[in-house]
Amino acid sequence: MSKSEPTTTVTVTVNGEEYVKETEDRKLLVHFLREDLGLTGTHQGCVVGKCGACTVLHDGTPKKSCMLYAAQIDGDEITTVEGLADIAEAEGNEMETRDGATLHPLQMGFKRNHGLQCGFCTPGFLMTSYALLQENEDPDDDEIRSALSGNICRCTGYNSIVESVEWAAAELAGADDGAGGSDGNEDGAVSTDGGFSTDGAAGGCPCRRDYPTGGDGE
Amino acid sequence: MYPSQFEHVPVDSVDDAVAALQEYEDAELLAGGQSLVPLQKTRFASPDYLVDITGIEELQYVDDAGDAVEVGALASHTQIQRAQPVKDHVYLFSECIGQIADWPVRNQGTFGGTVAEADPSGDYLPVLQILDPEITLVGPDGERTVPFEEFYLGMFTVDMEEGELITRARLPKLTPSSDAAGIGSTYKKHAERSGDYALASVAAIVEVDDAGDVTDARLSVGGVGPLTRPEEAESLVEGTDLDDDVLAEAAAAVREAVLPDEEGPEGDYKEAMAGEFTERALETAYERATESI
Ligand SMILES: Cc1cc2nc3c(=O)[nH]c(=O)nc-3n(C[C@H](O)[C@H](O)[C@H](O)COP(=O)(O)OP(=O)(O)OC[C@H]3O[C@@H](n4cnc5c(N)ncnc54)[C@H](O)[C@@H]3O)c2cc1C
Ligand code: FES
Ligand code: FES
Repeated sequence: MSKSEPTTTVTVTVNGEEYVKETEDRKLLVHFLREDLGLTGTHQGCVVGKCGACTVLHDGTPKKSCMLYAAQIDGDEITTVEGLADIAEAEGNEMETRDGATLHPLQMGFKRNHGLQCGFCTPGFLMTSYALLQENEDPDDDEIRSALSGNICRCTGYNSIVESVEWAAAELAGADDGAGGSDGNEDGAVSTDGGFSTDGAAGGCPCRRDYPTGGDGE
Repeated sequence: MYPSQFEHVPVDSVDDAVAALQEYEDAELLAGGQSLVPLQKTRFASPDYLVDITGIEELQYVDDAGDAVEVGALASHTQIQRAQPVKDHVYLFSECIGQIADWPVRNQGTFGGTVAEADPSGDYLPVLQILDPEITLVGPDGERTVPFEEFYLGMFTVDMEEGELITRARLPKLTPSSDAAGIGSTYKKHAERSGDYALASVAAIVEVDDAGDVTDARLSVGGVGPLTRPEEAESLVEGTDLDDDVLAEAAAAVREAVLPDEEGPEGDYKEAMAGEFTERALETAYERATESI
């Protein structure tokens, strides 16, 4: 190649952190995130806009990062799956796993409700679901399926994904109620890992859904 | 996998876009990129320059303009679908957009890019054919406005000169004409999977009088060969109250009118679906038209 590769200096805020990077004009956002910023949570599946594995939020709106050039997002804000836990912490609805990892309720929902198997598609599902819940706190089954119709999963059969999103919506609604109390932050932070509560400070045993203590018609 | 090299030229006004198209040879406009990026990746398109118009804010709007709804070329599909004037007065278009691709693609794809692309399986075409909006373009010689009927020349071909860009469209509001008591419309799409391009699609607008008889019917069939305005079917339903026999006749007329690209069973199937979806579209549009009388 005789011609030198055209480049652009991109200033972008990803998950709250500002990056200034020179990038090839033809570099797609998905490659920019993975290769230039080392944020490999965003996955590349089909690269033709059909599978949704690469979905990120662009100024809060879900978009497919394999269908955008990095040079196009100069000055903008991107949120990737790596940012979800921080968002949860900032919003006071973070959850902790048994081994102390912080998760967003959506991530916990996918974990608890078998919303993933191999996990390849999961970052994309999480980002689209997050944007959906931002717009609609209590989506019904059809609304969830319609919002997620651009995300393909080869493993789960989708029902468990829909249930995961419903679980997270219910959890977030509960966290909102709790926030009215003395220490909403703590109340919202349920500690759970597949049904075991190990953190004494947690606001309630997650098993409550599975083992009703009577009086609710089961 | 990677597109071939190009230089990214961001612009933020219509004037700058027109100037850039004159300055750079072998330049292509980049709007949503939802058609262009895949074309570049597969090397069906390899422009040396991409004039990136995504930042032109003056073209990102949907406005109520009296008897029409004005749509800026850089309004995203989602923005148009959710705009109140579109929902209130051209619901047909909102209904059509809801069936394009999926949410993330609709958030990035734009009106202007879709119209410029004129993909024969695209969902806009049948709707625009029966709405016949005015399309406005700007080029080195200034602005011009053409009705969609003249603007759309055929598959992937529109009346757009080198160096021009589409700036806006005026979608006429769907209100009953003087001899009609009600108006209804719909867009029905048949695709293999949610988010896929149409195998067959039908846009319909039906007007009725006080007695529930059809005074005017507009139909357009997409995805089955060239975009088709089945005029025979339109006149068949006019003056009737759209009973099952009339619906069947209209469907037969549509099957006659379409020219699928495919031969054999695939073509037969598309013809059949064009007929079937015409019946469904007419029924829904008629129901909606008679609701208010
Ligand atoms: C996975 C996927 C599924 C899809 N499914 C559907 C579907 O079911 N139905 C459907 O209808 N569409 C579908 N699309 C296409 C989608 O609607 C695109 O948004 C659209 O075709 C292109 O619009 P764009 O703004 O992205 O244009 P771009 O890709 O940016 O541009 C397309 C072409 O138009 C030119 N152009 C752009 N803007 C202008 C302008 N203002 N004036 C003049 N020329 C301009 C460009 O130079 C380019 O040649 C799908 C796309 C994807 C990726
Ligand atoms: S990798 Fe982007 S949609 Fe499949
Ligand atoms: S979990 Fe494997 S692709 Fe979805």
